[in-house]
Formats: sequence, C-alpha cells, structure tokens
Amino acid sequence: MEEVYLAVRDSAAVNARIELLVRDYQTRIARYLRRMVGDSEVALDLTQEVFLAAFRMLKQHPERPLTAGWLYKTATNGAISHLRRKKIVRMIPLERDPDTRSWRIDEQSAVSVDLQAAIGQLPPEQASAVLLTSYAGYSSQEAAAVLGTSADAVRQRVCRAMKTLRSIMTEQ
Amino acid sequence: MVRNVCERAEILAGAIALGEATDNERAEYRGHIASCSSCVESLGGEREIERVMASVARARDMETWEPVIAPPWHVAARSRNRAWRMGAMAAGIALVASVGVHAFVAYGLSAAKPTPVNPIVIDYDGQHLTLERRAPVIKHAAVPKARSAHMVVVHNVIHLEAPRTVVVGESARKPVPPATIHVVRTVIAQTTVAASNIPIWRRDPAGAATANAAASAQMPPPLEHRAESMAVAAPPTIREVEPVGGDAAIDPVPPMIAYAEGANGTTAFELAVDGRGIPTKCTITKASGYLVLDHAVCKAAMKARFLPREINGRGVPSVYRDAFTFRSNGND
Repeated sequence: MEEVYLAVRDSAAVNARIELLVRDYQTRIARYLRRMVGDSEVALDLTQEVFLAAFRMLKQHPERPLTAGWLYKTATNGAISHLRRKKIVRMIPLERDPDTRSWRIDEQSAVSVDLQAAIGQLPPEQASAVLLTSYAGYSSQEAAAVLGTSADAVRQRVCRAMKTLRSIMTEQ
Repeated sequence: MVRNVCERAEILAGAIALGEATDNERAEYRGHIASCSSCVESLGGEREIERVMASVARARDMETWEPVIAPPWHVAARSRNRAWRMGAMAAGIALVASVGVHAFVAYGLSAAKPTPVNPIVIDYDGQHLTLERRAPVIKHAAVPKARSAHMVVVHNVIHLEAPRTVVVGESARKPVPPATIHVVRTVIAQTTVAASNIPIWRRDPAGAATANAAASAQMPPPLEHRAESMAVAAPPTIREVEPVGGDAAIDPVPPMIAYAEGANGTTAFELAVDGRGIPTKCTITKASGYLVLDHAVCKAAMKARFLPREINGRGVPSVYRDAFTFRSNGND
C-alpha cells in the first residue's frame, strides 16, 4: 500500500514532486499530527516542518526515493520531540492548557473529542502505533517499519493502547 | 511463563484490533482468555476489542479538518530571507560598532596626541634663554637618552648631614630623618647653556637675577641668531605645569641606608602630569647611582600635586622635569 516516489533529477522535478506530495499528504499528515499533539496550530507547524524536511532532503539528495512512510516517520519523530519538550515545559509550568476549542469547532462528533482526550493520555509510542494503524491505515508490519520496531511490538502497543482507551471511554 | 502467555495474548489482541488476526490466532486468543481472568478483564473479548477500534475508526471518518499548508520552497525561501535579514542586521550592527570604536579611538588618540609647541624665549637681565618645550610625552620609554646629558642644572640639593647643621640660603628642617641627622635643603640656581630642562615656574626674574649675578661673566652670549627665538614668543594663554607648594612640594626622604652608605648623586626625573595636575608616571632620566635615592625622589614626586599645564585655560597632560642632588656630609 505504500507509495514509492521515484528518484528525481532536477530541481523543477523536485518542486513538482514535493507539490504533489504536499497535495496528497498534507491533510493526512496534519490530522495524524493533530491527534498526536492535540493542538491544531502545533500540528500545522509540525506538518510544515515535515514537508520542509522532505523538500530539503530531495534538494540535497535528488536520487533518494521518498516514501509516504518517510513522511510519517518524520512526523512521528517531530511529534514525539514536541511532546517531550511539552513535558519539560509543563514541569516548569509555563504552557497553557491544551486547546480543545479547535477540536470542538472542527469536530461535530463528541466521539472525536473524547478520543482525543483519551489519546492524550497514551504514551507517544502507543499513540503513534494506534494512529499509524487506524488513521494512516498501515498494517502492523508497515507501521513497524515506520517506527523502527517489530510487528509484534506494534500489535502489543495497539493492544495496550486499546486497554487504556477502553477504560477512559467507558468512564466517560 | 504466565507473563509470556499474557504478552502473547496482548499481541493476539492487537492483531484482532487491526483486523490482521487469522482464524487460528483468534482461536488461540479465545482459548487464553477462557483460562485467564485478568486478560478477560483488561483486554476484553474479541467483540470488545473490535468495538473500541471501531470507535477510533469512526472518529477518523468524521474528521472534517482539511488544512492547507504553503509549499515548502516558499517556507525555505522565507527562512533564507530571514537568515539574510538577520545576517544583514548583524553586519550593520558590527559596522556601526566598528565605526564607533574607530571614531572613539581616533578621537582619543588625537586628544592624547601632543600638539607641537614652539620654543619659548625668555629675556631677563640680559640673559636670553630659549626653552625648548617638548610636547607632553606620556610614554616615558621613548624619552631620548641624550637629554640626560643636558641635565646639568641643579635645582635642589639635599645635604645629608650629621647633627652639625649647615644652612645655606633658605633652609628647612626635615622631620623624617632621625634626630642625629638633619637634611638641609639648599636651593641653588644655576644655569647652563642647555637649559631645556628648567621648569618655567622656576624662572622668576627676581630670584634668577640675584643667582645669576655672580655667574653672569660665564654666561654665553644671547642666542639672538636663532631665528625661532625671535619669531616665537610665549603665548600668554599658556601656563606651564608647576608643583603646588613651590620648592617644598617635592620632598624626597632618603631612607636610613642612604645615610649609612654616605650616598651621593644627582637624580633627574621626568614626571608625567595629567590634565588635572596629578602625576601619572615618574621616570628617572638620570640615576644617582643609588636606587634608594631614585626611589625616594620618585615616591615624593608622585605624592606631589601640580597646577597642570594649561592652554587657553584648559588643562592638558604635560611633563614636569626636575632633579635633586644628594650630598652626604663630608663629601663635598
């Protein structure tokens, strides 16, 4: 299911490829990142960084094939880094509470808001495993390749995430 | 073992949630939860797992957020522009700072740079003296050695004497030496051809007239032939540096070892005086041969305060030159 983008040679081709990539994946990557970090603005910033990193990588190494998995992997790493920084900032405490208003404006379903609250309590590794498999539609094998782990580990993370989600969503 | 089995059940449950479980795996999971109450409680049955996963999928399907981001090369160009702007700003700040520092240094150097001063010609009682007025020299390392050869004018002579006190001219008792030793200061005004080191303030015509009366026969003819002596006169707006307190302003106190050694010698020194009249550096231009005497002179000179050299009423740095001759009793 993973699209493989062929190597491109010149800068015009790089721009065209990136434009196509942005058009195809910006929504998916942004939604995935919004679920991961729980904030629309941060998700947009991280999405921009993902495509900027792809653009720079292709400019520097035009011969390298760029896959959707690379985008998700970069997005996951960016989100985890952000969550770690956020954790540090929260200890200080300087940051405002997570903004859930954007969710309520965008989402008509209470399920979506509840799901976001539950995902926010998951460890980043479990959240990324759940979102890569459910949101991005990857199999456990493909998600394992993105996360750099084994398929069984992804299944186990999904199972543990399901346990947490079930307990939280049952309480609500 | 139990733990491993339960972990295996977790993997199977994950496979069921992802819809990847085979029939055999589903059967294996059912077999495990039938015998493991904790797994039933925590993981739930197959339907429960699929129900939670379905709620996640439903939330995904109901998402309406479709953001649009700018093409990355625009962002890259913006960041490049920002980098250029930051670089240009830093370069501008560096340029302004550099110009400021250079202006400051240039102004400071021009302020500290001595202005060329023409010689001063003083006429009194038929004696025509040309005082070569050097511009202030702050760094005494550059003092030419040849000047010490001209330093033959003795202004102050300090006699290191035993209790027998000899007073010549105006005298003053020194309190510092022990009771058995008196230091008598005698002011001897002598002039030589090379009088460039005589401070102007010592050149009062009345005193010099009496002092030079006996020596007038040996005086060289006035230097009228020197063009600059005729062309240049002392500007009235210039006042030379002079110590506050006159002759007694610089009061060297030789240490006891100088008396014990019977030290003799003349110490000539130059004193850098800043625009406020405070000495900043003392340089021995002619050593007496006794370090303690030289040190005593410089120590006393640095303690003194001066009326600074003034040009149009404004104090400027200058150099004060003077000499002390020490003669132990019985040596002269």
